[in-house]
Amino acid sequence: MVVDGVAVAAMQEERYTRRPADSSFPKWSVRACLRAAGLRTADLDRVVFYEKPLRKFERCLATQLRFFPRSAGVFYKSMYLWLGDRLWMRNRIADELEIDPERIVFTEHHEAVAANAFFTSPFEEAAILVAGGVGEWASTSLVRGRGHEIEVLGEVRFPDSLGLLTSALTKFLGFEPGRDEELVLALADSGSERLAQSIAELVPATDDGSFRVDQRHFRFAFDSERLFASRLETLLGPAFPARGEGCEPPGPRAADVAAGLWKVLELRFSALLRELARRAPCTNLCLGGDLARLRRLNAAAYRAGPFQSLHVPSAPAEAGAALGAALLVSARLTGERPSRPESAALGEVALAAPDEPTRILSGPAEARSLLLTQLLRGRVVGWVRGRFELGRQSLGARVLLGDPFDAAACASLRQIRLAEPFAPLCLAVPEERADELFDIPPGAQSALRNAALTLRPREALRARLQAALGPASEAVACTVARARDPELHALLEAWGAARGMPVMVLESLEQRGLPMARTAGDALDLLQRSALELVVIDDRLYERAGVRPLATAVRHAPAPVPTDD
Amino acid sequence: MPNTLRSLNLGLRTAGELVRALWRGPYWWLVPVVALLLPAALVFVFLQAVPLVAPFVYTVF
Repeated sequence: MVVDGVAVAAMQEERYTRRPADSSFPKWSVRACLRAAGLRTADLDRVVFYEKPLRKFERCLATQLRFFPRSAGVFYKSMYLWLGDRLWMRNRIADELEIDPERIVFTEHHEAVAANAFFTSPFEEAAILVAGGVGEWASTSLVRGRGHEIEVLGEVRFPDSLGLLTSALTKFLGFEPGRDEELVLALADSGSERLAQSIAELVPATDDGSFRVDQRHFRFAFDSERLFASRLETLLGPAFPARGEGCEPPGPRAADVAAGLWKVLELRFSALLRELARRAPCTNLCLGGDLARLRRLNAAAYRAGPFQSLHVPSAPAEAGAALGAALLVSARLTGERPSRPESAALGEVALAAPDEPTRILSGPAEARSLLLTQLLRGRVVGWVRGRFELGRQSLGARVLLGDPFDAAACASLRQIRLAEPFAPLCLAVPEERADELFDIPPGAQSALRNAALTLRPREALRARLQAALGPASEAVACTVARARDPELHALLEAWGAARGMPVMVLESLEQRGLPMARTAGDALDLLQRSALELVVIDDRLYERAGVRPLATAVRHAPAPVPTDD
Repeated sequence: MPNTLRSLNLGLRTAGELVRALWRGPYWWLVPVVALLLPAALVFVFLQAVPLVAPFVYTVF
């Protein structure tokens, strides 16, 4: 929701329906956006959808026919989905919002992703790399942003896609595509480069910085379920079974595949950045798309690349694209650049739960002191305050906090989140002291505020922080500026005074397989379901022992539906 | 009924846009395939918009 060039609300439907990456019509988040802006649908000048369904249908149909007869098994399903629902997006929006169809507009998907990356950045001009699965036809776009304009300079077309290749190999390794790609890259350092050559041959580079993907080994072009073909198993060995809860850490062969993928991604991504710098000579870089969610890749490519400053939005892929589409339409309507959102906290405040709190706290100072006491005891605590953020990584509004120097606390935090034991954790540090902890590439402040890079802590601290780091001895770095989040900044400073170094684990309040907590009720559900012992929600403290199990229907009474009265 | 007509009208407009866009682009050869697929899809859209038939749309097909 953009009002007068200012983003006033942006939220993901999955937080409301509790279905991860929910692709159903976003009726709950639409209502929430209208509520946040105090508007009705009749007040909207434009409603924008972040891709062009007709061009996407063209791509789906052409691809299904191109890969016939391999695609024969999924043709019916795909056409049923398109002809029964997706193609008629204008009808759907007009019906659901009861809005004049003339006010519904569509943007190119990668333009929307690029607009999100650029308009949320501090740059007046920037080169933008959008690399992900696929938009309409483009899988990768080289874009320039200048003032209020976005200009696509070149693209790599589907089915050559680094994002889909990564998802296919993620699935091959038994991880969940669309969710676990980062975990796969975290594994890469423990593998050898034994398979790197074989994997590189599947993705040959071309002279113009682009690449191809050998489709004989993959099925992602036409089949969204089985992403790779049996030929890939001939090359890399049998596929790994799907990983469930409590699986053993992946073995050396999985690490070798991950290492090969990492090598290819690093090379091709860097080549794309060099080509982007040639076409859009500029020192500023913005990243968007699914690959920009891979924080290890962001850091490596930026370090190797020709750019001097970097921005990655809090939600670089799909969810952010909706915000980007709205910002882009606003820019095109007014001819002015939209205001840069001050923070990613564009969601709703935590609705109160019917549960009685263990204690009401007198204010932020008492909350801080309580959190500090509990953290010093080695406990993991939940902290919920204010509006929730757009994106996968909470930057402070819905978080689990823990002591990164305490191996037991790190293990407990991973267990609460049902995370893999080797998953690198996110470490928050005051912005002005980040240099003491991490070897920070110059010009990356904007990306670090959105926790968009994985960095290696400095040598002196690495051993002490080992429990929080992944196999590559890296952690996700999140810097906290006093002006943006004074409460979290004050907590980190107090923690630093007590512990010697102001660094704390800051992970999203969620469990693997479920979306991040939105309401107080979601946080209390997690309190009961996991080993989490206490959670502070605004000025209320809840301890597990004091919270009675409540039926989901009672705790999650649906939000009132706004009426036109 | 006005809603049903509006839906059908919008559906026909989308179908027209699709055929025009295909015809102008490099995938003009998809037009015959789309011409076969679209009528069935439009019936689907029309039936979904008719309140009395909508619950039985899967039975109809």
